[in-house]
Amino acid sequence: MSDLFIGSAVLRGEDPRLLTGKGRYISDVAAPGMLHAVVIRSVYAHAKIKSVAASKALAHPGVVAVYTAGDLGSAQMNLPSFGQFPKQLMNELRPLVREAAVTTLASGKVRYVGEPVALLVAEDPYVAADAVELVDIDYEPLPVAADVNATKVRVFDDWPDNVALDMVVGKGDAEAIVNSSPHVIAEKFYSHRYTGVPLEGRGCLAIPDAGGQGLTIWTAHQMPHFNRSLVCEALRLPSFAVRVAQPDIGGAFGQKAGLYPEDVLIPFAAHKLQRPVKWLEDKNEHFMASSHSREQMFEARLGLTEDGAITGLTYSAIVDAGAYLTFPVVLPYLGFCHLLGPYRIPVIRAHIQSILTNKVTSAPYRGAGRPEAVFMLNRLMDLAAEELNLDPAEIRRRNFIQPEEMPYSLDLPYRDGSPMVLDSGDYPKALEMTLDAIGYERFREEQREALKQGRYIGIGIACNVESGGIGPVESARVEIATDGTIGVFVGITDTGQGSKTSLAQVCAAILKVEPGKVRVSTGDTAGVQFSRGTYHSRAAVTAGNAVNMAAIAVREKAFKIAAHHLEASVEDLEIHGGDVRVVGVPGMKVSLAECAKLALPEASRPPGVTPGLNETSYFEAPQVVWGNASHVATVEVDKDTGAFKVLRYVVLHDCGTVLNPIILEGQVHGGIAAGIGGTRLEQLKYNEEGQLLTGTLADYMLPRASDMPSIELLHLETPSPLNPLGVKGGGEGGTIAPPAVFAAAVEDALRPFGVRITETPITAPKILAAIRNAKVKA
Amino acid sequence: MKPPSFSYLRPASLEEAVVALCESGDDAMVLAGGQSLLPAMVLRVARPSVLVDISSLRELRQVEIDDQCITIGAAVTHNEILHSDELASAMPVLRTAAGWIAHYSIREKGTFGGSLANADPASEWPCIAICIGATVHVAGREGSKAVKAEEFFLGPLTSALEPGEIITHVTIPRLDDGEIVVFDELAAQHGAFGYVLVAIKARLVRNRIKDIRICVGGCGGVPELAMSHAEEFQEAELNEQLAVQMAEVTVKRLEPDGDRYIASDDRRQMAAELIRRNLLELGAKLGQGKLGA
Amino acid sequence: MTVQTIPITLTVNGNCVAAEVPPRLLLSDFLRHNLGLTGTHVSCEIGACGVCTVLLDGRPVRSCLTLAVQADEAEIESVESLSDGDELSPLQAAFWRNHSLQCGFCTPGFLMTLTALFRRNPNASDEEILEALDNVLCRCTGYVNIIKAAKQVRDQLSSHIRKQPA
Repeated sequence: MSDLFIGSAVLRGEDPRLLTGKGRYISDVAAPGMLHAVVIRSVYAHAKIKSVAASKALAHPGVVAVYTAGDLGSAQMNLPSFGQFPKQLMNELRPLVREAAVTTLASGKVRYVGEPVALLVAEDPYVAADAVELVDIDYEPLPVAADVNATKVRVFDDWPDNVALDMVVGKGDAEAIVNSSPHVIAEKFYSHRYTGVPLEGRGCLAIPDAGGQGLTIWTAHQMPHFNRSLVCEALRLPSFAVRVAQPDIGGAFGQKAGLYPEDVLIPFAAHKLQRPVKWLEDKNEHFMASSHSREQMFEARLGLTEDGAITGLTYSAIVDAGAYLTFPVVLPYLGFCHLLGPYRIPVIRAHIQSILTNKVTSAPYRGAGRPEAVFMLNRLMDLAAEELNLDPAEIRRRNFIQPEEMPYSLDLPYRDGSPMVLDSGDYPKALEMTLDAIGYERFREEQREALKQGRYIGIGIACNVESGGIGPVESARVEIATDGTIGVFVGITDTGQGSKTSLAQVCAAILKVEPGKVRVSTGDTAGVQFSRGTYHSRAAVTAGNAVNMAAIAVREKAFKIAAHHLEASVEDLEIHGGDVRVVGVPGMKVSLAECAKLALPEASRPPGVTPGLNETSYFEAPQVVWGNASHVATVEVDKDTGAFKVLRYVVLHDCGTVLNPIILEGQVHGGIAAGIGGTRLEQLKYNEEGQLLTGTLADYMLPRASDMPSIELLHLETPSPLNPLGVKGGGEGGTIAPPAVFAAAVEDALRPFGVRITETPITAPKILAAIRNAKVKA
Repeated sequence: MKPPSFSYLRPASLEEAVVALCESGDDAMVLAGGQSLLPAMVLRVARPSVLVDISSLRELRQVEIDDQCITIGAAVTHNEILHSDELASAMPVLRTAAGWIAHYSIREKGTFGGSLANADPASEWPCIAICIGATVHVAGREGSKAVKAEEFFLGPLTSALEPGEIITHVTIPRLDDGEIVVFDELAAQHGAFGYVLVAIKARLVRNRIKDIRICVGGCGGVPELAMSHAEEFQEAELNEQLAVQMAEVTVKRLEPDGDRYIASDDRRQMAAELIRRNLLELGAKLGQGKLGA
Repeated sequence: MTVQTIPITLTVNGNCVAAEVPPRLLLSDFLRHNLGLTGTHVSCEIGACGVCTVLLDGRPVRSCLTLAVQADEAEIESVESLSDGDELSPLQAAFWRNHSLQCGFCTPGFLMTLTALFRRNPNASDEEILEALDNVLCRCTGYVNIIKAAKQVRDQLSSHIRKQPA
């Protein structure tokens, strides 16, 4: 009975509100006397700021203030970075990491188009938009580092080059072992720049408390507690004086994580002016000032035996980091970690670099370094299959880590310093299930027939592991009100993925009530004291288990109170339908509402029981947990136009215990759509001057309904042994494999031409060029 | 992203609209559907001092079909064309092309005349208008004038419209027996800017070419009428080989630009392929008796 | 400089509204800020995303690419008009049942687009439904469940029509 509601397709409680226009997003939140802020951004990719003249703007009716770096006092600061190696791991790996911190406002120099230079505050958003044009900024343009090969331009003047991260990591004598292998596959790969683009931009509303002692901040942000720490440091306020809370959030995908200048600027302005100040990111700003991702290049050598068993892998990876380093090691190191499964790679050596350029800063976007690495790894597997004349499915079978080897230690540290151990999973079965579903052998026959008719169809496979649920700790508080309503309070944010409903299910399963009776508050510093927020597929794992623990603790307290009240023994009690009752004695029961009343300070509580029916619990994650996925797609390529159509897409996603299958299904669908967009449509393209050429939603194409194939979703549930719920992360999985799958499928379709796909995006012009190049070579 | 301030006029007649536009100075602009103009204003690329709203003028909203020609008012929307069975039966390609334009609610407001006035070389209507030999009728202070579509587009986002002039309607000659028009487009995504657009009007008799016009959009500053009569292909039999040959001849006359998404050579190759395919398709359609007229 | 304002009178979700608005005020801002109807959301502001779609005299339009003055004498319907009190419309109910929304930001755009489509053509084909859904961007769902809900509603509507005597 403990899993009464876990695994059920419970409809989301938040939906009726969202469906009727009663959602309350940051753009909908208002406060009396609210002012509107606009960030004034650099129009140059690299320039000295000679002067900022705001007098004309300040004279414009309705303009309240213009701030530049010099006006900010303690709020002009280096913003913290995230996901750094812990000290011990720094000592072990000894990476070169240079500090390239974002500052609140640019001072002296700008390093990308879109970098905040000033903040303008006005009474009305239309007035603000007009007044921005009246602020004169005098720049002295500098030469631009448009890519990682720019050697003559220094993004930071006092650096010897633009290398922000440089490290070597691995195990075994990979170089020698690969070089002496019977087969070596050597290739370069490139993943292009694209990013999350939630339809709702970032934004916040900062409201000063009466008396100017603190602030309440509503923000579309994934990490409210970190945001609070930042504001407190900037404004020299104690943590309890600032409340940061999320309204409904219109998607996030990693781009609303980390800390941005606006997270300090808007609270600063509100605190300074003692009036509510609101800022909403528009889409123009989004493309030029919210984090980018994915741009990474690889050069790899994969060694294999005559039988196709991997002997080892050596590679170098370079991340085009953009202008600053906000997540110093996350993208390339997460990539490295995801090369170690699901295929057995006995020895590995990686040379990892992040190099600064005059572009928007790179940071995690759904997948966070995984899609790039998984692209390289699966492409290498396909190229190896070709070289060894093996089927792509067969070479994978020969290299999978087997289920009976679980837990499988990878003998390397994860980025948080914990040991990397694949906790559970059945990779061979996952692949076989997808191959069966798509009819792999039959497809090969269809392919031969199609070719006779001049049709080019192909199939691609990609398998990957996927870490989730990073610690160290997440907390939850469960409280029962005197009317019997159950409240769950967590600091992780619900950015649309349905955490409120999933967590309600976890709590309901323990307290044996309908999930609809549980109200969940997410992303509020007033809810719990500590939280790290939502990122790294961690909400269900860390907050889910914390809620589970807190609900158990509350149940235990309710039992103590009920036992005292009913004059029964705790051991004889059970919970059911909102009541605590004595097993086998009808009528001997007390409702949870009554228990809450009996826990009031003035009530007669049992000895040693503190007032209030609420408990806070902390889930400490021993290490990340590892899900896995197997994706197979078939495509038809038009060799004359380069267009390709997805015929079928089959995916198996194993993320341990499923809390809610429809929510998980939605996550996988959305992840695949993001992968399709990234592979086929979305491109952040810059010119040599560092100007973004694709900075509107008309130029940066997101996938639409007609771009989607139907998706056949298969389930395999291998619970994690590392947490009581057995859950793993589900949010990022769908996004990781699509680039590799489509590259493989297109390449397979065009095998008669000998085409090799080693780069994304995969667009019609790129396919035409690939066919042309292959013909030239042949 | 908010538009700059402007004054707004909503004249009650075309005549008033012309006067309003002329008297409002060179920075005044016509507002029809606003689906290209308003984004430009929000991005502050366009900064009209005055907008003269003609979207509800009855004179500009007529659709007429007679024996000689089809008349489409400038303020007729893309979706009105898409959903008009009369237009679709008179000239099916109008429905085909309308279906390629942006998305549902853009097509509800965006207008035929507005698209021509905007003169985007990768837009559907300019390419079609040139191919089918349309005439653009314009009202101005000096009276009205008629400009052939192939002379109307002067460069990217530049047309033959003078300040103070408003497109009133477009006339399109009806198709003769044996004539057909086809339109096709290659784009990264349906509704997005096309890599290449191709419109072909042809007259065939017993599968032999009597006359042909091929207009290619997206391959230069204006849609290019790369073939305007049958030339050496007069009387040639339309088959696979000829289609390839004609496509080659046609694309040699194009000077496509590369852009952030596509290199000029790829554009040329796509254009050739679209032409080849659509020549064969129109041949097949005529052969099956699915006449364009 | 005095800013011109223009009087407008319109019907919004069945209520008569009169206001004086500057010409540049966008219909989306008029609905959201002047009338407090924040169910209509704004994302790209240039007409690409469609989340701001409302019905103007029954036609789906981008409220971000429509001036409030252009809605003079028009009838506007926004997402707030779809449900009857707490009772979800069949379309809204289908979205809920099929998990056709995640963050919910784009949802009003889809609901209004489909409302317009099914009023015009309750028998819309699968292709017509897909074409209409291309009107709006969603970044969360991958559209799979939106397409599913739309087809279910179409099937309900068309079976209802079939049951009606001719």
